Amino acid sequence: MTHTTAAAAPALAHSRVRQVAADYFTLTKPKVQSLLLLTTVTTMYVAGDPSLGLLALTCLGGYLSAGGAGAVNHFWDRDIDAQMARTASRPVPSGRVSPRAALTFGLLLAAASFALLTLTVNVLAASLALSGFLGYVFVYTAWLKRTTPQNIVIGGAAGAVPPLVGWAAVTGGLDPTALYLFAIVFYWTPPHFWALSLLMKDEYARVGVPMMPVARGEVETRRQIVLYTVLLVVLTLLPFVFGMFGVLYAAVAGLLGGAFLWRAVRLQRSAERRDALRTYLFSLAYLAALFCAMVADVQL
Amino acid sequence: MDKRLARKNIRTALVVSLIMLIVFALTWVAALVYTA
Repeated sequence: MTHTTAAAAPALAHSRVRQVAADYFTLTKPKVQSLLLLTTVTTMYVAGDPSLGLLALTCLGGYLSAGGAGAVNHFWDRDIDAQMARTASRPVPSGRVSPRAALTFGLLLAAASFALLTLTVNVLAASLALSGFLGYVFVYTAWLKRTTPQNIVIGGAAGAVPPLVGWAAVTGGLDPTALYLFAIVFYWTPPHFWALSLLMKDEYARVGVPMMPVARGEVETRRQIVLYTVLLVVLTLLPFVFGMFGVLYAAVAGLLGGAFLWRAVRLQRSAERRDALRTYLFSLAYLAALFCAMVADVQL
Repeated sequence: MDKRLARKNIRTALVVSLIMLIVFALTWVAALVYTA
């Protein structure tokens, strides 16, 4: 019995360390991060020919900044997270990580991001990443999320900053193409997130978060998704018109845009959760493919 | 479609775009001053 207990102790400690590490990793919202990092990396290859070292440092800085914002978001939203089935098992509402620890962790990550990017990339990239952090934490999470159905329309700006960080890392500045990439992600965010919020409408309603389907209803949200998708498709074709990208990009943007619009119209005509889920998943693939097309257009 | 809501969404997005342009410009100037 004693032998068994002695042998089990290190395994138990190891398991606890792994759980703590997994919880802190979860605080950084790794699933959300993957698309943010993809837009950063692809933008860097549109802007120039970055070294692997610059690429790695910029991605690490971006990850720390967005991860810090995610951790502070976990801290701030712990009350409503505890009431929603989808988020109740998150580290803070489940009690595995204390609110103070989550907040401290988030602020430390943001500070580490600023220091890392300033020392190894440049001040502009560091400042832009910091502006994304501040926008997500103070403007979206603390101010808009619980007060207005326009929360995503405005708050999407914070999630659109990574391309600017990537551009600034490679060129040391910003130009109209960089601002266009920001605009594409900014206008992509509402149809993307509204499709997701259609799936979680009941949970958002229960905790009083005025997402568009809660405040204006599902039918109206689907209509606004179509309208915003039309705007997005037009916006993604303008860089070709202005000579920022070539025919390859225009062809892919047109095809992807047509497919996104088809999905949005289909969603408008359907009350099925399955169509909302497909639109949400397609929007993820859409943005990834669009940014990859930009790289192909510039590099080939 | 609720046209008022559509207009409000688009107007909000345009205003935020302008504000973000100003934020990015200020960030650029701050970085320039810091490195000068």
